[in-house]
Amino acid sequence: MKSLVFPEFQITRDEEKCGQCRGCERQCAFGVHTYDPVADRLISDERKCVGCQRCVIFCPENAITVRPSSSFYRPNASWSREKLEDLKKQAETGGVLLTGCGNDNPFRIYWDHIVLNASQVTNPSIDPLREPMELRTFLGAKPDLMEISTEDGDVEIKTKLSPNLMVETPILFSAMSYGAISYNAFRSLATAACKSGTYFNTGEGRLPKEMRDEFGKCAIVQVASGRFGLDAEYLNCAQAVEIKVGQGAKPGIGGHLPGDKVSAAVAETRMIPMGTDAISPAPHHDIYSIEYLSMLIYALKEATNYEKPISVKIAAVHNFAAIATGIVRAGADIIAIDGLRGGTGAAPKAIRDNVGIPTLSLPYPRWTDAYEMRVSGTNAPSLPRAEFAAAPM
Amino acid sequence: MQTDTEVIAYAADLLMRRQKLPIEIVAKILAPPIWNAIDQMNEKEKKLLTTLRMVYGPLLMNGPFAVIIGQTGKMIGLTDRIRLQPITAATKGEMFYLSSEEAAIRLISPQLDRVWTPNGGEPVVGELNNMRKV
Repeated sequence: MKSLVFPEFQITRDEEKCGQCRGCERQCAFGVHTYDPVADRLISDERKCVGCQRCVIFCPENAITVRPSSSFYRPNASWSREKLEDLKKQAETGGVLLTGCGNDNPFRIYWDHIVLNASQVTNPSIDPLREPMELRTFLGAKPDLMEISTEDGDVEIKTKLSPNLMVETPILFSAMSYGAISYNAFRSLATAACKSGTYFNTGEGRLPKEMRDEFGKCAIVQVASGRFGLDAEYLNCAQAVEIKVGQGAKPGIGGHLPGDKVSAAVAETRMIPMGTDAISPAPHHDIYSIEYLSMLIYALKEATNYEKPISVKIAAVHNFAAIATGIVRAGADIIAIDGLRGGTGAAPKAIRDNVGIPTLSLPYPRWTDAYEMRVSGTNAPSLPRAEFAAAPM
Repeated sequence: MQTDTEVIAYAADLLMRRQKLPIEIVAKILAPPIWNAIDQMNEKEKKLLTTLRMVYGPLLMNGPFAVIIGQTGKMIGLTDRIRLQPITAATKGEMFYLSSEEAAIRLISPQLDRVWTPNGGEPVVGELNNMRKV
């Protein structure tokens, strides 16, 4: 049946310039250009074109022009092109439209509007060689006070400390799983994290075995609701374990990797059959209430011998303060908050584009609420405080 | 709090009176060595300083300062870890002097038994032998 979806791009070929070298046919990954031997010319099927401009660049004669289709139905502010086309695509396929990457709507990126307030009187360092700007940060639970015993000048730390993550550059990478992104992209992130003194997050895709020796020292592994390939060896090869409760790009929805993206290598790493959809349910089916989170956190602590900090990642929502205190009480060391515009391997398009709030929009008083609720609810003198880390937007 | 002095007073109170930490540790919290130096130290020192900086990181006093803290029976002098602010200590008999300039001490006591310049981040403590209760 012929699709009623309007072609997004129009292709113009200058037949005088075209030498029928068929380079465009070879370069196009979508099969747009085909050679007709009878007519001895290239024929282009605009419907398949995604506007990557590869044929344009590779054409030796500059014979091809690819531009967004300028014609469309009568302009209407309520029924935009995107809305109309999405409706048609959904009707024709009968499925929910899925898409990847991040929200591409022109919403404000709050992080871009932060400016650094320099101090003129005392700082920055007067002599940078003698007083460096030190960025080393520790993420994890800290005791409220330390008990020290001194014997003949020998100092012993008596307070038991929770494991912390030492970060040289306090900007961490968000979780992008192998599968959602390609092997090369994943490896690039890992390499960059190791070189910059920070950490990358494996997401639900696990860490391929050949990468563990080299990159495990800068890795944070993720335990998501799908529990793909979780074993003690995998958990212990990294520096921290993150429980993924939510994700900024699609709060309240679990993970989804379409079967098309599950190649042989991805299937082996995730320990699922090739070509099957990798679906992670929402929520974790053993965490129906915040109280159950504690059981999972301590199970992971046992599996890692209490040597790695456990982080819990939630999506930014208006009532995050209540969730955050629940997480701290459950025993987590780090809370990660993921806001609007986060990336994703696949999410329903309507959700990715319209659901979620920016991390920085979480009102400041709520942050102190989260801290104070924790303090007033317990009599424990040295209950560790968890650290907040924030992710895109 | 309105002034730096108040901040240091509260910090000293928290660490010394409430948490009962010895002054050597307090100095290492307020004026610790830089990370490059800590990374070169032996394992024990490194662990202690890393733990102190990790737990009490927000109390690290940034920038130049020289403080004299009075505690019952004690006087403690401390300057910032890279010694941007000067401090001089001196003794004459039973008297112990602390000042940012030696000239100020000489004004009060031209003859001195010992004069020295403490290092950055190193506390100088003068303690009373007997305390007269009033």
